[in-house]
Amino acid sequence: MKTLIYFRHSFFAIFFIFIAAATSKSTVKQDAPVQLYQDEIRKIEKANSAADRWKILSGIPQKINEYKLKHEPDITSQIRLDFAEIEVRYLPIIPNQNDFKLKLCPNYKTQLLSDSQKTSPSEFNTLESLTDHLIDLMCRK
Amino acid sequence: MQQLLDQYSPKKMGRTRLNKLLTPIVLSLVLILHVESANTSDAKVETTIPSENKPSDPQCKCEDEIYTDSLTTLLYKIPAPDPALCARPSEPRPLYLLPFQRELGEQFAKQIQQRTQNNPSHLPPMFRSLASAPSDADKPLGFPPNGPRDENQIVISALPSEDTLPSDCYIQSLKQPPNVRRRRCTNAITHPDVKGPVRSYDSDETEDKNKYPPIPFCGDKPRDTTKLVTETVCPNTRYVQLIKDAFEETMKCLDVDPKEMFPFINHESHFRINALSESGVTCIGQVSTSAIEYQNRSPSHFQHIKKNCPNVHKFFSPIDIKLYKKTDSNGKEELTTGFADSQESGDINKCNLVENPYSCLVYAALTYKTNQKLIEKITAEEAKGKNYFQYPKAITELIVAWSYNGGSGGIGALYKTFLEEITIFKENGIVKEALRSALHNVCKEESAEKSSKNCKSHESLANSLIVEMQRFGGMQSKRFKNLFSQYILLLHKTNLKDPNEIAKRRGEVAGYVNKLQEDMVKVVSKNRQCGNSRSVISGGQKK
Repeated sequence: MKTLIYFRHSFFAIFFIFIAAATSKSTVKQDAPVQLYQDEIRKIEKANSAADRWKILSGIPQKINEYKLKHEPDITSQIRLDFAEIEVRYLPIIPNQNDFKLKLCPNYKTQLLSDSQKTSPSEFNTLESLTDHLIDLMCRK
Repeated sequence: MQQLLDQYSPKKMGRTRLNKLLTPIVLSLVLILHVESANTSDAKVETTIPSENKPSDPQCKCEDEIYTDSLTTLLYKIPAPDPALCARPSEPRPLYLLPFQRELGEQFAKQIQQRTQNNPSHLPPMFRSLASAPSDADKPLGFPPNGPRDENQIVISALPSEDTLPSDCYIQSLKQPPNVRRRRCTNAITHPDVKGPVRSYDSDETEDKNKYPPIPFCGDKPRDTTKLVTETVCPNTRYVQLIKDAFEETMKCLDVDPKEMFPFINHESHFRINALSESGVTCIGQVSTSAIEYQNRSPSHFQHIKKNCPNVHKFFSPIDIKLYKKTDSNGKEELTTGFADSQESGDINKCNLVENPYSCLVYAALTYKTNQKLIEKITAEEAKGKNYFQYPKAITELIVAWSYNGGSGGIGALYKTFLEEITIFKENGIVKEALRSALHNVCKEESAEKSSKNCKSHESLANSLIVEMQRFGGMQSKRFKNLFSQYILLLHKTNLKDPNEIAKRRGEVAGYVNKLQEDMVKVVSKNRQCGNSRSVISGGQKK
């Protein structure tokens, strides 16, 4: 009888460990970088002033670092690469406020502004399209 | 061959016996070379054996020379020379040899010459001329067929010698055939004989054929339009001088070492100003429209050129790029870059801009510098003081080289990922398993789409990385090169949708540094002054 109880307890212990492990794994999804980027862009969209928008924008690398520290052992190369893409490929498109306003915005405005004003970040689901939307937002007065 | 030569050296046998034995061998070799050369039309290098045949059309103008002259007129504002200068007078027909044939002959002649106590008179006439040929540095260019034309030679203030490369480096680069099949804006710069836009085109591009008139006539006969793809510039002395000046003055202006940049231009276009890739990248530096657009956002570069580089500013024109919407195969709109409307209105205008070597080289050098800055920043943030590599500077240079082809954003992100992963391994120690699973998970999580072969690649990459990280003294540059090219093959992102095209593009980017090295070796083997044998391009040993 004692052996049976021992086995039953062991079984539940292993079962709970397994469930806990499975749950913790599921917190890091493959699209985590897109989600994080999308959340930050949503905040930029809701910001009241240009200064606030630039502040949120410059804080994105910090948010990425925090996320990575929190979930580190479970982050795959692909997720790491997506985060690196945001930091290395997409955010530097917006070099600094002055140069950006001077050269990039006039070019983008003619192509994007009228359409993308009608849409929300949730409609953009790739890093590229989110970046286009971000540039559009940063060009607003 | 060595044994044969030793056996028949003059010490072991009399000269008469040697001549008796060698004559049939040499004659048969000459015969084979001559027959083969007669059957081949590409990549010919001429020697000086005359014959009595004359060209069929003495009126025929050398379009390429006119083309170069037009460019000269455009850049240097001097009147084009009399077209009569381009007319080919009756001339002896040269004997053509393929480069490898010539090389083989030269080697053979050299070996025999050594064995015959360096006396050229012991050689048969064919090899006598090869053996007594001047060194590469003193030789005429060998092309165009009439040889260099030195009238109207442009005199330009010489740059300090330490900032320059010998003209021979450019000549050796131009002698190499293009790496890929390219379409070219041949004669796109105003041509006196043609009205309207002129462009070369692939023979199967019927739309282009209808849209653009064919390449100018040669005398009264239309050119063979099926062979236009291989049209290229006519690299005479004047052309070499022009690209040398444009290259070295631009590099000096933007503070880039010409020897650092030379391998890129050598590989990308072989210094042909009208190179146009099938992927759409243009000009001598093969710069993409998105790279040009990125540089146009920083007006400070152009202010610097205006203020500090009069020789470059005189010829430089900014290339105007616009953003426009494109609908992909799924009906989604995306932004892309292209030439601005004013330049699309006529290919002559467009080609005037992109084929201007000063304009293109400014963008190429700026792109190189931007890439360098970004990669150095990533290295500083992720790897400084961590002694991951034996030669950290060489690693940075390798990544900068890859960025020129794969884009600094894509390659930089991959490099950052790579550094983060080795940091996890180094700092947490464990992590052999974590790293292995991190790399392996890429395919595990997408197992429905990815093949098991790909998963195995990830796992073997992780294992190699682990072995490398345990190496005492840091990773060797060559090992890094191999590992990073595997990263590119597995993870590099592109805008392409088709898996086969993605794989092809990844392969192209992964092999880019090796291609740069291969092309550079060809030039340096002819002239050692063209490159630094210890640079990244020959293996990366810089501390």
